[in-house]
Amino acid sequence: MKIYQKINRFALLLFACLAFTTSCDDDDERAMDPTLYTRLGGIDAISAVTDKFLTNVASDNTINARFAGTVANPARLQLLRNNLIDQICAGSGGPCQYKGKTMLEAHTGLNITTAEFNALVGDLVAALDFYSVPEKEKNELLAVLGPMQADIVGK
Amino acid sequence: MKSIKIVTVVLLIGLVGLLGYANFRRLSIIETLEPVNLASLKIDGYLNPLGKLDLEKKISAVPGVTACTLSKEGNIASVIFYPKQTTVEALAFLLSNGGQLKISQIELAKSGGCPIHQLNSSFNEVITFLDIRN
Repeated sequence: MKIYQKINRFALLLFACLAFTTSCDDDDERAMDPTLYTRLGGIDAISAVTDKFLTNVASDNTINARFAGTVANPARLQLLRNNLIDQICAGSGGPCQYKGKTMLEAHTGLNITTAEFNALVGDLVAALDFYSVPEKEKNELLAVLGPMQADIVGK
Repeated sequence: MKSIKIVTVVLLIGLVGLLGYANFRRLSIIETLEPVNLASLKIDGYLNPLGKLDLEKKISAVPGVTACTLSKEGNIASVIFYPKQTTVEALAFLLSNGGQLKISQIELAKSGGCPIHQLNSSFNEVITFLDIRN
């Protein structure tokens, strides 16, 4: 008789555990909404957008002089590209870590104008449009990068 | 003499340690990406907007090219490509559109430019050099 009681208790305990884990599944699904990084298409999509952005900048006569010395050197180009990919990847919730200086530290003394900043944003938007990034994801990404303007312009 | 031996042993251990770290560390997602080059080319000759768009598409479709943009004015082409798969000369030839356009490489400033701000870039360059997986 004692054995049956033990089995019943075990069955009840097992049922309770199953019920608990099942109810947790719903919560997990809610918590596991895909990140912006995933919705953008992961690292390959981000690096494709970054490359298009860089060629847009290099062909943009408003701002390309600012980048000439950087893109002329393959090692510096690589670091700039890596920093941009890291920044977009990390900002969108991806598995990357931005290893550079803060935007304020990096741009102090460069006297970047609002017109130059806007031209840069225009080149980024053109790159996102080139790859048909949906409006929602585009706006979310721009919202992540937009606040950096205060640390970049007029410093 | 003894001190030279000690220094040599310490240096050897350091080198073996660096080699071990370079080749057995877990690569970050960025390090798994193939390195690229950027070519900035000057275009001499007339290109109408449709021709500009076609040329941009044609270059973008070349194997090894990751991105290509022609300036609004149609006088600059910027191309990012994998140097293992294509060359600036091959891209310049394709951009010339069968000799219709004259293409020359733009001499970019060797210094200045956007600040590259990766704090440990020199260390990373050494480690990447020692990594035989690349």
